[in-house]
Amino acid sequence: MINPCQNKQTFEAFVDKYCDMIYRIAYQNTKSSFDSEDIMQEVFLSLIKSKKLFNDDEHLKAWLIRVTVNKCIDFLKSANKRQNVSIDTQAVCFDTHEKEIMEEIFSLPTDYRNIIYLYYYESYTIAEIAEILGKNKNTINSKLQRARKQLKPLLEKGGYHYERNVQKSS
Amino acid sequence: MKETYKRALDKAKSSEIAKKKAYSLYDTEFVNEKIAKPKKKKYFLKGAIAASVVVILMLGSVLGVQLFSDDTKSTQLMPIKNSFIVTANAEEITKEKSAQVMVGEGGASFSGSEDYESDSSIYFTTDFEIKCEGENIDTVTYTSRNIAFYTCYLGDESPIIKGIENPQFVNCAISCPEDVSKPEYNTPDAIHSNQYTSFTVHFENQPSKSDFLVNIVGEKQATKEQHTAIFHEGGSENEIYMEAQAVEELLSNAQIDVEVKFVDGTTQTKTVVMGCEAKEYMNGEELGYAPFITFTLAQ
Repeated sequence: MINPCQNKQTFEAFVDKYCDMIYRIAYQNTKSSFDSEDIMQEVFLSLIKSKKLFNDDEHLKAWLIRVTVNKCIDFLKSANKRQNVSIDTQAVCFDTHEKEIMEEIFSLPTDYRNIIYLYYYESYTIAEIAEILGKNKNTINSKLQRARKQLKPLLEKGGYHYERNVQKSS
Repeated sequence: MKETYKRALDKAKSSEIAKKKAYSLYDTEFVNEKIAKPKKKKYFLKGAIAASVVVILMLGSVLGVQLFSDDTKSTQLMPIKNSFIVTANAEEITKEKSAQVMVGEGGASFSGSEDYESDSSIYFTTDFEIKCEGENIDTVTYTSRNIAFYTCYLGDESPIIKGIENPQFVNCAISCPEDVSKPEYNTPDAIHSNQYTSFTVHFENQPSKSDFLVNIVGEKQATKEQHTAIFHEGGSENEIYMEAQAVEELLSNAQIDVEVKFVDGTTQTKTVVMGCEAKEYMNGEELGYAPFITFTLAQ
């Protein structure tokens, strides 16, 4: 069992390990570096407060992803924070091609962005994403397909081929 | 695209300041906890004193009633015989309080074909650990209505004394028990599964996640509207509530009759109803608030 808050050193090691992952998920949801860092603090605070023990590193990682996604949902629900933020104004310096892709990703609904992130960046399978997000496998599958459809012009432009077949529901 | 996407996201990193702020959360939170501790103790002492007074008063009143009562056969302090409660995942199920298991967590899921025309069936499976608790119980019989039990046990001896097999086998995935203390049991040959509409076990052989798991399963024909609601494209709260509503409709009349036979030969039955809801939160506040689909069991 892992206790990420066993002592200060252990906690800091886990902050080092997962802060960028949490930040990236939050950034994809909020488009704002500032808000992403706030969400990151909230996630680590939840981790301390939960006093939760984890079976292994993967269990902890899945928990952090889920909490981050939920914190982002809470954030986006907050009416005064629902404003369109252009990614030009943010601190991340993308080159032209990266910016083009990120603009397309940001044009997707937030839950699609999270699935895209978990599938392409973290290389989780559809079943794993479904388990982490607490959703039906078919829902994840159809959202991923819709996201791909929307991103199709970019995918074709980049000569990109899907490296994994979409899992068909039983 | 994938490489460019990864490269772009690699650039998105939390600042060193934010990282250090996160480190400091540890100190802040644990210092706060230490300050708060004496206060908790004070409340605990107050609570303990109050509880002791209540217990003394109650005992006094009961003894007083018994001393001055002519009724020598008073049963006020005798335990209630031949009663039982139904639990799921170690929680008592009542009319007011249901047991819940979230879809996607553990063994709860539902599935089907995205193409309604080719297959309109929706399959579901949950691994609620349903059992009875009480005194003087000899056997327990679980009988399903509009659902089925997909049992799975480890070892050579079946815990099931008698069972009525499900005539319409539900083709779905199930959870199997795992006995970590007996690695020899965790092989395909040692796992035995079957589907029943009704089965009876001795009280001491009731379902347990370690060696005898009972999955509640079902296959339902969905209407086009229900199918569309379940395989919705978006992820809005409204769609999730509609998805839960569609599954709930499919689960109508899904019940389990739990019949307990006591050692004196008398029997009692309780009925548990299965349902589906979209819940605003799961597993406490730390997961935040968002609707999740959950299966429920209530009386």
